[in-house]
Amino acid sequence: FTSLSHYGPVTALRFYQHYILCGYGPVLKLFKIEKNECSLVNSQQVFKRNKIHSISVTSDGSKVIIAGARSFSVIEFSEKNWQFVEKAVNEWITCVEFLNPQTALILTSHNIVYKVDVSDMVLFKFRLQERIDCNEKSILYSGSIRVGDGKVIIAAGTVMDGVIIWDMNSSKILHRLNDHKGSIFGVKVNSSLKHIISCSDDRSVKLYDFESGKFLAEGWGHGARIWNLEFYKQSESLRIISSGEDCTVRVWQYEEGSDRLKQLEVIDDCHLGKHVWSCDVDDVQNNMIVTGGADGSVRLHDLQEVDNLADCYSIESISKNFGVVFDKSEVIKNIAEMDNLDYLFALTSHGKLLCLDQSVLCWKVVELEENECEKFCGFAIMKSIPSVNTLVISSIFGDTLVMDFNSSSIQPLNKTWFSGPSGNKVNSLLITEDPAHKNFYLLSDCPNTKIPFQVRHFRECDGRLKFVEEIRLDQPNQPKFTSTCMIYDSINHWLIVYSRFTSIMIYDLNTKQGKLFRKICDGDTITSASVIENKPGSIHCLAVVRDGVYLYIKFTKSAEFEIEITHENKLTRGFIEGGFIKNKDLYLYGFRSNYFYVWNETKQLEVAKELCGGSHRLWEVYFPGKKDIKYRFAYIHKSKLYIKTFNNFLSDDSCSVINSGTHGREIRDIAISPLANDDNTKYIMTASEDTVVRLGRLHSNGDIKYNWCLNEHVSGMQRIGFLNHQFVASSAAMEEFFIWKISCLEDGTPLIKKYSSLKPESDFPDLRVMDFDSCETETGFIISTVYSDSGIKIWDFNVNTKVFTLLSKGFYTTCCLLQVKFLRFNDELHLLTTATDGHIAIWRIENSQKELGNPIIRQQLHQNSIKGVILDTVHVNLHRLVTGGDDNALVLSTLTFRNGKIEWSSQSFVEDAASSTITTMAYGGDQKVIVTSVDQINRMWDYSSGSLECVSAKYTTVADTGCSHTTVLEDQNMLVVGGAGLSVWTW
Amino acid sequence: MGKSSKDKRDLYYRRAKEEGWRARSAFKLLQLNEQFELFKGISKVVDLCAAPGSWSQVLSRELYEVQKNPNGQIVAVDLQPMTPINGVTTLQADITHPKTLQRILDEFHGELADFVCSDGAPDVTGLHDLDEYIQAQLILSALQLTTCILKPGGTFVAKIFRGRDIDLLYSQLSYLFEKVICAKPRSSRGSSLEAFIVCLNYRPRPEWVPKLELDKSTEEFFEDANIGKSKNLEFLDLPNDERVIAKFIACGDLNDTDSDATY
Ligand SMILES: C[S@@+](CC[C@H](N)C(=O)[O-])C[C@H]1O[C@@H](n2cnc3c(N)ncnc32)[C@H](O)[C@@H]1O
Repeated sequence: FTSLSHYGPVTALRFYQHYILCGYGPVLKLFKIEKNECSLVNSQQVFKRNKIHSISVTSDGSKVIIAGARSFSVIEFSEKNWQFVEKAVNEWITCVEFLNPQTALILTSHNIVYKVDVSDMVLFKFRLQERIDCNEKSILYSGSIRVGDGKVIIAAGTVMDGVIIWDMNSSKILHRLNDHKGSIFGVKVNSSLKHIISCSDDRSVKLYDFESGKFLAEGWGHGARIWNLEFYKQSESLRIISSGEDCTVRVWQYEEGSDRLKQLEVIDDCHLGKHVWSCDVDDVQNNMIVTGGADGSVRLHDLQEVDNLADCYSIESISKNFGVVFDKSEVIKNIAEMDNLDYLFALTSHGKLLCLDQSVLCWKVVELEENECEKFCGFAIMKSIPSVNTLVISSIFGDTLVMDFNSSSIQPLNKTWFSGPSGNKVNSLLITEDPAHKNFYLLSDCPNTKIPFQVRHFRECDGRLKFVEEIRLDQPNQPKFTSTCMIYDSINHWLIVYSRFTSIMIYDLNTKQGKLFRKICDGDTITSASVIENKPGSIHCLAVVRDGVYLYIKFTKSAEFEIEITHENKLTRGFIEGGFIKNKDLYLYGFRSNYFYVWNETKQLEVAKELCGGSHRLWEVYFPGKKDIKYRFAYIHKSKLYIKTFNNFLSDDSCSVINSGTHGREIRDIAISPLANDDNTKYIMTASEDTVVRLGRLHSNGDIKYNWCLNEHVSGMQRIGFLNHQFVASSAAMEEFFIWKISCLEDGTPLIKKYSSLKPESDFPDLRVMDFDSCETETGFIISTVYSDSGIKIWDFNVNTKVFTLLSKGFYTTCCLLQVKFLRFNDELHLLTTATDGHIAIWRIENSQKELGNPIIRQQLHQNSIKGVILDTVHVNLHRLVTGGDDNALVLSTLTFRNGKIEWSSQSFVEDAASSTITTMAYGGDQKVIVTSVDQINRMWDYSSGSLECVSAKYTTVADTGCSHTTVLEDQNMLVVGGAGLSVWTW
Repeated sequence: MGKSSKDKRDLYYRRAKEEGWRARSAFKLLQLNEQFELFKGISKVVDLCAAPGSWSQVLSRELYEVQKNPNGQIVAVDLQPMTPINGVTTLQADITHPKTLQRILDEFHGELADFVCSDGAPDVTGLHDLDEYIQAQLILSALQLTTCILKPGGTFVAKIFRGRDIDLLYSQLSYLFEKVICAKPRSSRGSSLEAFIVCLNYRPRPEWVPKLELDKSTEEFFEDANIGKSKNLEFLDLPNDERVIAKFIACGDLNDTDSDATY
């Protein structure tokens, strides 16, 4: 076996000057930050089996020491290939530090320090010089060593006895800090030996004075256990970062006199699932925080965001500082930004139009006639069209003022009025442009659906809008259709209008005929839409629903308009106000509890966040696309206008992910498409023990790049598998069984939508759907599902009608079934099941037999649960069966059809095929199976001789290994193993 | 351990309530006993990590109601307090502390135990290698106590999590016991890695006197025991660990309640 790639928990991180050292399981990775780019410089596996938990660098930067479990190693710091030898002590190492470049200090988990001579960097003959302890040998969960000021201070975080601070040189205990309840997961002493911080099971961060040991302040806020703490590197700074199980990183500040640490910043959703396992802060050189999660991703966060506050303006401050005169009770009602010119426009309740020139931070009144202002008194809709520097304001009767601007002055260059739909009130003004910024459409919408939409078409000419024509489009024949947004398809000349109640009206502007698609999904208001790709006869667009759903919708027209939802997913939390695709990544933004967020859905990370009080604020967001500005968010809160500018701190589009990851919880099953894509990748789907299912692409070099994180399931995942290259099925608890349909965009981005699902039988579904199997039919598939209550069901699934029809059902006994496989004997369909009682059972599936009846064969193969089964069909009447069990055993048997009967016979039995439970098996081709067990060893067994022989065994760093899948990609055999991480192998 | 929704649907949980056991763990000990006859002829028992006390309940019933043993003595130890059980002396103590041993020895008035069991498990962090290590330390602490208190020929049973390095533990135990078996009772979920090591016939190491000193760690305690534990090599090289695969036995009737099934 050769390892191709590995994704797993990031167990250690350390900043050093412009480098980041990362302990990625047993692999040490070195990243370099140069000119706003962060790149991988070197990556080598330094430990055979153990994971790196501690990294330290000498003060002169010459050497690095890494340690994990009992292993440690000292390496000369360089960007090139490292030479090293793996060393070990007899105990778990809590942390390591250099006393000086020749001497390393190793703190063991029993609170003993080993002083080791590490001067020999040629033969690596390290010598244990001394063992030092303070006479308290309690078990430690954490600890740190602070060398400074001629002293060596050991901070020990015990399992049951709080924090012990002791002086290594005198072996004396300086302080016992018992303010925490529970195990101590992190304790640090700052570089100037003035303060101590600790975190524990009790979810608090505590700060102490080093000299006296006195408790100073504590910080509460983390929603779960805290794993890491770091002081800011500058010794005078009173700031601390903490990270933990709740996947947040928090920045705290100590304010003298207060016994509560002030929480300055919460960076949410740093990682998927649970656990930020490692973090470090660099407030000296790079101004960043780096975090590593259980999900295998390494991320950078901008430290400057902590102090980045929004600009704030009020009617009073604008009046005072810029001499603008306001009426009593005049307030700002609309805002719009023109980012090319850096202008922000604000319209007041009295119709006054103001402009903030953001390049000089100066407010001025835009000169409008008095009668113009009057039109906008009390109600107006104002929107900007940044690409043509145009501002559009509509009055309550739809009279629309269109103005364009340039950089020389905030006064409009041109002003044109367009009248509204004769005396009727309008409730929305929609504006859209084609992606090439050539055609622009404005639509005024009256609540009375008898009045057609008033649509105006403009074209771009010399950088501004030129009116082309007015079009009237009949509203749908409904009592109500409240439009919310629209898009224009320039290739097909279609206009698509979205509304509340998730209804869509699509118009062919060539015929002015429209078609209504009512309630296309759950949810209420479609808040935003955009064009993804279009070609003659079809358009693919993005639509987002406020409730948290986003969809990719395909409209086609042959004779009639047709709609297909090709992709749908929902966010676990938050409301969505808009979305867009940039560099193939999907971004969504909106509100969540009391803040505004921008979220990269493809990479699953929060890009920006602003505490603004919630979603009922008047607000606007802009994505300037300027190199240094990422977004601008303006909102009204308590009558004040806030403008938050969020800056880019890394120039590339990695979005701060310097190493991508997989899932944040244990991966329970893996599925790989039977067919390769045009780009020589194969779709891979993984399901984790939370409710998450991910879709991505497997590359032949072992890289796995995810596109989607699906949140359809609401219970813990059990199984996932491709039924054919187009359909995937997944099963979970609560009787959940879904079928998904996979398609893709022209650019190769995969799309997936839940296509159909089995309706649970019970009102309070409880059963786990443990496994399923399928075989293709002319109309779809025959599918068998097996359950935790020993139930078996066989269904016919019709792909066109999306309907499941129950063909047959039955029970095995009462114990939990584990696997199910279809097989044929004498060309008749049969079923094989395995269970927790170590038996296999074979059933004949007779046509139109509603009850499954009793199995025709029932045979015990293992002492208890059969965890893996490989069915190798030799020919129509001979199958070879390999099973692996919880009892560590591997069994090879055959199933033959002879003289009208099915016979089972045992061929080979290996009692100790693994030292710990076998959890998964995958077919390796050519009469070989790959068996993986919790002892973290992949073993290849060959049974071509009729007997099971282990021909290869390789350690995998993925802990809790539980699933695997094999495939062939670009003529290469590939094995993907999953558990607490994913690793890809070839042989 | 705590109640999760998984436990609530479990038939063993309901049965425990019906039969009056404090926890479903009782069935694990009962099924282990079915297979190995652990209770045969025992008098003096130490139940480590005993709270809430279902194992002690099982042992109490066995010693006092079934055997009607006048010399029966059960000492139960846990960090948490326990409500009284007939004939059981409960100590609220940390089994990793050398002081705890002395308290147990005092209860037995210097006599040795026939049977030591430990159902201990720490709260897992989720960092697998660390959790495996902490669990192993807990077992080693229980083993440390056992070598000081178990009579030759006695039995030691401890909860384990079958993980990456469980075979290191099997190897070390096989130096001290004639038979080391990895036993999985039917009440232990197949979907979990939990199992029990059943160590039969304690054979004290020749030339090693187990001495619990207050200022020594568990590692230091076993240093001279010669049970194949890796030591610090001369140049701190990576040692070759001794590993053994213990025999696996699934205990309890296969037709008995399946802890993975939904009933
Ligand atoms: C699964 S419960 C034991 C159940 C028990 N056998 C019964 O039958 O009710 C695990 C126990 O281990 C205890 N424990 C964990 N670490 C310990 C330690 N170092 N010393 C004593 N008890 C400990 C916990 O307090 C917890 O009550």
